[in-house]
Amino acid sequence: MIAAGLVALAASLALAVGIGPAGVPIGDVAGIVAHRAGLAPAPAGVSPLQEAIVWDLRLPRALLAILVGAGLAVCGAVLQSLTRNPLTDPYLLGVSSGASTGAVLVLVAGVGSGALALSGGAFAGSAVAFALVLALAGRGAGRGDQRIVLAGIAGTQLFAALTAFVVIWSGDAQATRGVLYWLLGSTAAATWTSVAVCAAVLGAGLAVCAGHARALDAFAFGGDAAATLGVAVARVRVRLYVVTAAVTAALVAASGAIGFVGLVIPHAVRLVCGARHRALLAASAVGGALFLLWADTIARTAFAPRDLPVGIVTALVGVPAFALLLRRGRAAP
Amino acid sequence: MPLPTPPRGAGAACLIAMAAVAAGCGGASAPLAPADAAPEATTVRTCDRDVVVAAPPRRALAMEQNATEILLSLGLAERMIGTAYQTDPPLPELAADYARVPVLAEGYPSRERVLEAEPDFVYSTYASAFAPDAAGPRDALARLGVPAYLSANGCEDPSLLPERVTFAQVFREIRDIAAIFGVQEAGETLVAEQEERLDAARTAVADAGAGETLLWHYSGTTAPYFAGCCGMPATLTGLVGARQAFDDEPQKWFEGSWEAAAALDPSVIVLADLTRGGEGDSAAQKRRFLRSNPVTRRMRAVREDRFVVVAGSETDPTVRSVLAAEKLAAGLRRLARRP
Amino acid sequence: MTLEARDVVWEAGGTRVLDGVTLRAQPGRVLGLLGPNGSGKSSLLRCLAGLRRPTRGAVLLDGRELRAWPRRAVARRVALLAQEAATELDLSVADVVALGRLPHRGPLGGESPADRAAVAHALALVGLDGWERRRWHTLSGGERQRVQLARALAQEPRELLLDEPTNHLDVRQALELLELVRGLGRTAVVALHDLQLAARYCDALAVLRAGRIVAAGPTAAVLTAGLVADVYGVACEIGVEADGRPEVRGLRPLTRAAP
Repeated sequence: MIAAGLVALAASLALAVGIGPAGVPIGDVAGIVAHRAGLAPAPAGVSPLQEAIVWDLRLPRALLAILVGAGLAVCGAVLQSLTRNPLTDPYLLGVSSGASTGAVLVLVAGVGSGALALSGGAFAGSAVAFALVLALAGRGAGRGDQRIVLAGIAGTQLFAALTAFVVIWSGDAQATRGVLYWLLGSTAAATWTSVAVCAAVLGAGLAVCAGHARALDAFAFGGDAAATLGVAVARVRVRLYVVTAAVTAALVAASGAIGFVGLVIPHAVRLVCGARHRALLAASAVGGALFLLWADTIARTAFAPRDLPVGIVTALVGVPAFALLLRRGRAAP
Repeated sequence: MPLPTPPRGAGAACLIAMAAVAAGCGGASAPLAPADAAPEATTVRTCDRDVVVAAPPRRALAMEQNATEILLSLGLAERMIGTAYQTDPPLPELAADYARVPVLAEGYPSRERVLEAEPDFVYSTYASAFAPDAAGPRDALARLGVPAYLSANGCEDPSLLPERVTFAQVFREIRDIAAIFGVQEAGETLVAEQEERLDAARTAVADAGAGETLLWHYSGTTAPYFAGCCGMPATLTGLVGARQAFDDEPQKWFEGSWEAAAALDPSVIVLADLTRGGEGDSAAQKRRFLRSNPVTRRMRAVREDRFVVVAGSETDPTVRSVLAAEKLAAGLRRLARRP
Repeated sequence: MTLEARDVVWEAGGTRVLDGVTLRAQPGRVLGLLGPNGSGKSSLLRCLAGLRRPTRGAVLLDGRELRAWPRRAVARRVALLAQEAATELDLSVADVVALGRLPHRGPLGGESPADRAAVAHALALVGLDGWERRRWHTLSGGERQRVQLARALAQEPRELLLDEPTNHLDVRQALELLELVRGLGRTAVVALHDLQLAARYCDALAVLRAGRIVAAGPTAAVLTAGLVADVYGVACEIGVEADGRPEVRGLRPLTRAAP
């Protein structure tokens, strides 16, 4: 089933790169990709602008959507298992709130400038927020389930308020709209560099999470049950919190705070694949990637020339899809 | 501290109420009266209501830059008790007058601050000035005997907004204000001056605009804001005889994509220079981004350096819009003269 | 050698729950833990399982402190069946029992045929053959208890710790479970409420009150009417069964005035 998902992903990627407001014929698209990948000579009759649109705009965006979708879904699945809370999403630990504060400081208050400023600011904000949440949770971070959730809520609220403060203080109507755009998430800023960074971070993070698949299974009945099965509960928890926070922070820094994916994809996947983490994590990655790729393609093309933030589409499209799955899936407890 | 309500204020309040009930008879301007005649009540229509001003105000409060600059351009500095929300430095010819009026806040002043200043007239370009945390609703101000004027392009009710933004509206507003303050002559002078400058711009650009497609880039880098139809950018584009990219997009401003912009291949990009300091606000930042981004740098307008820069505030229907017309005309002529 | 608690003191939230508990399980024997509610039975079991670290004293496995043992090695030796097991996940019975195989699997190890066989075997032992595909959430309390026991058995432990395992079971199931436990021949420490079951199935008893052991030793020696009245506040008669085990009869409330 994972294999089928990967095939669907490859096909979707090809399709996504072929669609867009600048009508580039599919044959040319394929030719451009082949040429830039070093597999074929330059296709005839294709302008440098068209080439740049396919290779430097559409392809990085699509790839980023895949990476972000996969990463958020996996982080959501891991955190849901660790906290045993079905409402947990990857932003539990304050990462997205902190990133938003960092981002608006750059977007609106003019702190820093240049290509890296926004991502750097967002990542720095995530780091600060996460550190605060861990500090608030204290030694209970590794021990109990609920302290970290409460600390996360507190941290998230604090940085959300800071974000709002910065916006209200310095923004005018147009700036506020720009901030909203970032808060909803978008892949418009994707570059090959950001794709490479996200791929590296995600790869490492996924490897760690996959290595803990067994331990995550053990958490099904709580921390104590996991301990009796030989899991070093506190250490595993903290390690996975740090890893998921780092992955989420990197992804949010590149694409803003895209919602819904990390919360709902794991549940959707559980309905289909069951709760064992070896399958769950891989399937969440593939499912999240497919979902966000399609949502991004829709956001980018359905209302052209307008470029909607993908976070709008994820919920608008995702909720009905999830409802369908709930009705057809196994009966809820 | 309660606001003292002079008798004429109470009378004005009653008249406002009656006028609101009898709404629909809204002519725009007041009967013309000589500037120095004895004060008499002026009625103007502003958005959804008529505003009756019993006598030319002596303590006017301007809530944003455009309101400020219109009042100052009409020579009314002596009759202003406050300004707010100035986004750009004042026009050089108004700088001295501007310095004489107290600045109540960098953004919008709070309701308390507004009432504390005891204005007898509040003038705003945007409806957000009448939000509860700013000056408060116009109804509330009316109850206190303070008439409030909102520009036609800022009406809260979208059905009242004009379909297209025109210079005629700006001039009408100038005339309304001039009538309210009893300085109709100054109003006519200002309008005439603006029309003269527009004519001069049209003459200067001649046919340099024909055949050009203008893309108006307001803010943002990777997530850019472009102008759609029917705003001041569209009017300015028409004035110089050019075409506008995205002129079929119904929103005045919208978040677009560079792919869509590149597909239209505009021949000139008009960069709005904002002093906000955020990402993609200054024209310099925009230029840097456009030249470095792998897609935009291949656009013809970027490759051949076909940019025109206007100030951000000039892209709204304000007393400064004429400056944008001049810059646009000059810019297009410069580009046309290139070998 | 097997599990042993030496002078274990455990404090939580400012209260001293276990106050110097020393006991030793006999290899291959069933040790019953008795005591009223709140006497510390569950806490003691958790300390024996290594879930809680004693404030003072130590828990030893095969003579070595539990703290010194690698976690997974402990999990392969000692299995704990807790009083309650709750999850929101939609698990199958096989999923739950397979958790018991985790200590035996390698870090990237998937499920091997040996694991599946162990799961099937464990289910058969508790009388739930063929229940692999049933959903956890459709099970009754008793069935869940037995599935959890299967999970514990799937760990292939040599020491089995059971915290009131008969709580949700009906009469027959309770007897069957304890028969099973005794029949396994592994070291077991079982916290029980039911004195009759304790008398029947435990080789030795340790009685707790307020975190202290008030009596410990072979069942027949420990279980006296006097102890029962003292610790539980109920009256009874202790008889002797055919096989020499004590029999608890005539449980009734203690009357204040002696007749």
